[in-house]
Amino acid sequence: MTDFRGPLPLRDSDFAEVRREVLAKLERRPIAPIVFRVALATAAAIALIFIFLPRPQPPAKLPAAVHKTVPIVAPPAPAIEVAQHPPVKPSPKPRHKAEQVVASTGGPPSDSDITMNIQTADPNVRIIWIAQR
Amino acid sequence: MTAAPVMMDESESLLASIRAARSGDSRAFETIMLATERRIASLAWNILGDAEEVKEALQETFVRVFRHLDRYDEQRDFFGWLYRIAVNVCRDLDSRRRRWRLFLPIEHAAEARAREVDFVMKDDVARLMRAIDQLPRKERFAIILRDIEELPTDEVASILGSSPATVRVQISNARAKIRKLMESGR
Repeated sequence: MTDFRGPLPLRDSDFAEVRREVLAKLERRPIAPIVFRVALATAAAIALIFIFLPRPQPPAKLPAAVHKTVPIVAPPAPAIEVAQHPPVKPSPKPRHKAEQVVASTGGPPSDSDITMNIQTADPNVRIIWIAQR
Repeated sequence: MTAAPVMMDESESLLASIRAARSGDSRAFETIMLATERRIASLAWNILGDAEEVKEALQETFVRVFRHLDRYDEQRDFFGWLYRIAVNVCRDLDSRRRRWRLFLPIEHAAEARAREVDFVMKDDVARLMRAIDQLPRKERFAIILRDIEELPTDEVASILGSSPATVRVQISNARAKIRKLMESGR
């Protein structure tokens, strides 16, 4: 059953041709790695040049004596003419009361602290915000 | 008594050639080609059935063998490894041929089909060949390797990258289909 297609239609010359072609292909193949190596070496050389190239020096630091701690004085703020405007009244109530102010369960907060315990949509995530009054 | 030492010598010399070829010795690789080309050509001929494609398959197989020679495990059968590469090459060529067949002009396709039918009707062997060619690829490869190349099922499974059980099923299905196709062709 091994020759169900009939005898192999290749002659010795066909085999020789195939071998020749294969060897020619294999000899052509090393060109690619050589080109790659040359490209790599060139890139490395360029990188080295950039690393060791003398660069323009940054301006020399002033001697230590010159440095003095100068207190930063804020420029005087422009005078605000308060008299021209009516005083802003604080609103009696905050507009929004989105957060639920709850005492923290973590520990007794001091009187001056506000603890906001916000329950998110995720039952496993709770935001606790502690702020000073 | 004499067969074993000769075989040992052959495999030893093949291994030596493989080692030399790995280090880039093209003469040694030519020795490998000389030792294996007819078996690979026979396999490709059984799968592809076209002389030009067999030459192409042979060439591509050896190029791939050379390229991946360092991956070959010396503890394993070299021919099994070689067959696996050759089967993959034949599979690629077979896929390409099927794609090209879609673009064949209709009158050429009809002509080729008529020639095939004439040829098929000549005798049982031709009918068998036609039946095998009509099988799905996996079954075709399995039956060619098992029944025509006469490789053991385990080796066929290893070459095709399947399990022996899958190969047995594929071969069984292939035989049933061949029988059916042979009977319907009478």
